[in-house]
Amino acid sequence: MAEQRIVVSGMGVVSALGNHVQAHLDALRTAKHGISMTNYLETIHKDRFPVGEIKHSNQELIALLNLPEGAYSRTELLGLFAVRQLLDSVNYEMDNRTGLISATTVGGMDQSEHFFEDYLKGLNLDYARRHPLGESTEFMASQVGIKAFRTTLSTACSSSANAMILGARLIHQGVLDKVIVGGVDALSKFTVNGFNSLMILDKEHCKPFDNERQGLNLGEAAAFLLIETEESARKAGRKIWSELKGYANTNDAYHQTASSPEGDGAFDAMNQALQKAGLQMSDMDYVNAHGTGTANNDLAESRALQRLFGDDKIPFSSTKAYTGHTLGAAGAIEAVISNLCINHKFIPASLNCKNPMEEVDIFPETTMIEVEKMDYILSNSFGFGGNNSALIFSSVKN
Amino acid sequence: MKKDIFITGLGMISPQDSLKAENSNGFVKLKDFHCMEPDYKEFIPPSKARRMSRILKFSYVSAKIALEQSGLEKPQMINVATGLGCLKDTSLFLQDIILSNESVLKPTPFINSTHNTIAGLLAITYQTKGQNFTFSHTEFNFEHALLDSMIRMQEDNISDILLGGVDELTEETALIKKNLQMQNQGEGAAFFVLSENQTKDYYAQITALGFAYELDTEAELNQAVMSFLKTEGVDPEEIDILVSDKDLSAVFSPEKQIIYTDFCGDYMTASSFGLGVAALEVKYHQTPVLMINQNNKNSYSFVLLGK
Amino acid sequence: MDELIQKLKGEIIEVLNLEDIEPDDIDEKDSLFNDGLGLDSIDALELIVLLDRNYDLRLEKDEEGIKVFYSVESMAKYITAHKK
Repeated sequence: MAEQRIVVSGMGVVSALGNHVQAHLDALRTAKHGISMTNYLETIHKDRFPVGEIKHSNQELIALLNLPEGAYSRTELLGLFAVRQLLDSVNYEMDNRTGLISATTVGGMDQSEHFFEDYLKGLNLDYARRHPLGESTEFMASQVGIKAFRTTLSTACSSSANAMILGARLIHQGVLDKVIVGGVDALSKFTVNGFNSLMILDKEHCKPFDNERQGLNLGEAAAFLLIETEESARKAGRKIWSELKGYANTNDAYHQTASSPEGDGAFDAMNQALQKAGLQMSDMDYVNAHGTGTANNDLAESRALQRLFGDDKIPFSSTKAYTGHTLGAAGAIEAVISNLCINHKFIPASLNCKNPMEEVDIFPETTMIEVEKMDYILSNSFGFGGNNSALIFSSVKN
Repeated sequence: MKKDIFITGLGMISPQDSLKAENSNGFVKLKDFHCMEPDYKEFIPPSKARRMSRILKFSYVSAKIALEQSGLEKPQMINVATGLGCLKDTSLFLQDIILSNESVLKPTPFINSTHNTIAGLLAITYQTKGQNFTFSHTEFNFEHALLDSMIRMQEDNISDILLGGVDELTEETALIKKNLQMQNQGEGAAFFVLSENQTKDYYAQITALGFAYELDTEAELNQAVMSFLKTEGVDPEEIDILVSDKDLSAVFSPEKQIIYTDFCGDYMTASSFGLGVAALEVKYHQTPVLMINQNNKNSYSFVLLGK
Repeated sequence: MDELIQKLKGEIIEVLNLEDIEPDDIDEKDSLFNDGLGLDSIDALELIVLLDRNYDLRLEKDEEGIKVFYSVESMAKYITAHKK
């Protein structure tokens, strides 16, 4: 029996661009980014590094979510916000054939780091309970009534793309009928200082794929998508955003943090995703690149793209200058963006990109373009530990 | 399943003398669950060891032994489960942030703190360029990694998978958990080579994996177990050994029950050690084994191993 | 300068956790990266931290790094020249 088509039938998102899907569409179409200096994160680097921060304090999020006062990590608040938004948007009726696969890189670290010294003394233990990455997933699941399958992946910046891949696999296998897949990460001192110790943070607004790029801007976000078979979506009367036509996860096996300079890992991931989709790169109407703005990623990724483009000119851009690099949420938020592009037929501008990179001949789209045809989008997410994922979305007639 | 799945290699570092154990007969009940660690110099070249924290060393050695036993030079893909990840490094970096007031910080602990460092290290070591997932959930974490592995094994082009579960106990975690009144905290690494090909010295076949959520009574649990076995065409009478994380003799009592957490303590990926014990039992006694794990509430996972 | 070189060798061994290496095993003129000790980009960052924490020195430009960290000797020369 041929594998059934897996489709995206719902989305929920919160990031520096705003509190809902429409806000993201508007921002991308008008090339308006959400990068600023932090308002809420207590760090000595407050005025040094621009970030993609969500414009709500934790207290505001608790109020928006109608939660009782209590010990919450920002991560679980953001995650719940996006999951609820998704479920409300499709009037979802929860059942036991619905699973949740979330992804995060540092989980409740925003609180752990705050209370670290206290924990060691045996104080503020409610926050200690929230440190494990899986706790935010469990919190979201219990709040929205998911009682059966839920799990958490953590593969650095490719985490939530992998959550989609795992979700699709579980549906094909008949373990679940519908899966809420995505990821969440909140800003924390841990990650700001961590990336700073690697000297890959830009002190200004990042410039992915620009020859003079100086690094990335960190961001925070929660993004979740509902995936199910086409038959299941149609039966429920849900609007279909796209088909998840192809995907792949590969490992560079090169170095703990750096990508192989020729972009072999990126190449493999994209190539295998295309193979799974039964498509060629020349079929792609747009590539939403990982494009973090670091010297290493953008070079490796560009080389891989150039190899795959061959003589074809395929439009591509990075959207990380809009949202920041949202780590565990990156794959999912860019899946949301890709779905917006497919449905509204446009290509977002790669912001702040003026100077073509010396090493390659390709250059991203630097203005927003409306297009006649938008049938296939390739979305990349590459993480530390050589973890490379590529997703391919295709348009579906409703 | 159209393809059989054999456990052809097993490596375990645990509070027991498990590294090259041939059976679990020598395992003893403990109160303190810190791992018995080998002389790492025997297994890890210094150029690699210098950047490895304890949890990475656990994983590296366990995986190495599993692969050596299986005769496989290079697995096609790697799935790792770890509940708390590289805690020591996380803690070191946090402390450094506090002590230096966020000024110049050493990058190594930060790089090592990401949960997928373990699977990433193994990918580099064996040049495995296939799928590399790290599962970091709280409950049934290892079982989820096993589930994905079992599904992938059914694909035509996958024949060998390296699967592992690992968590470490640091002084800080021990202290935090003591304060949270979570007793019996343990640690360990258990790595498996899963293969579609039977080898001469394979341990067991993984026949089935299932979950049952929110069961309120022992009767319901018993029913779930029976139903699981029935679906697999297995007569409950055929199961002589139960490996579990708690005493479940009231629910299902074959001839022998092993409560594996008596040997390794409690941790988010302890069921990987449980699977190791179950695999040893299958090989030694040449009989199918059922493993049952409970989450912190009332859901269960079942793994059936055959010979 | 010799004293500084010996001290540096010890510090490098400690900071990079080069367990199996003694200070005498390191030739101060040998390249630290590529062939020599075979250090990588993460080690480079660790050496930057070493320079900052132990000698209170920060590199002006990224390009300087390749020259400064070429060998133990070049590190020692840089420290001596910029000592506060």
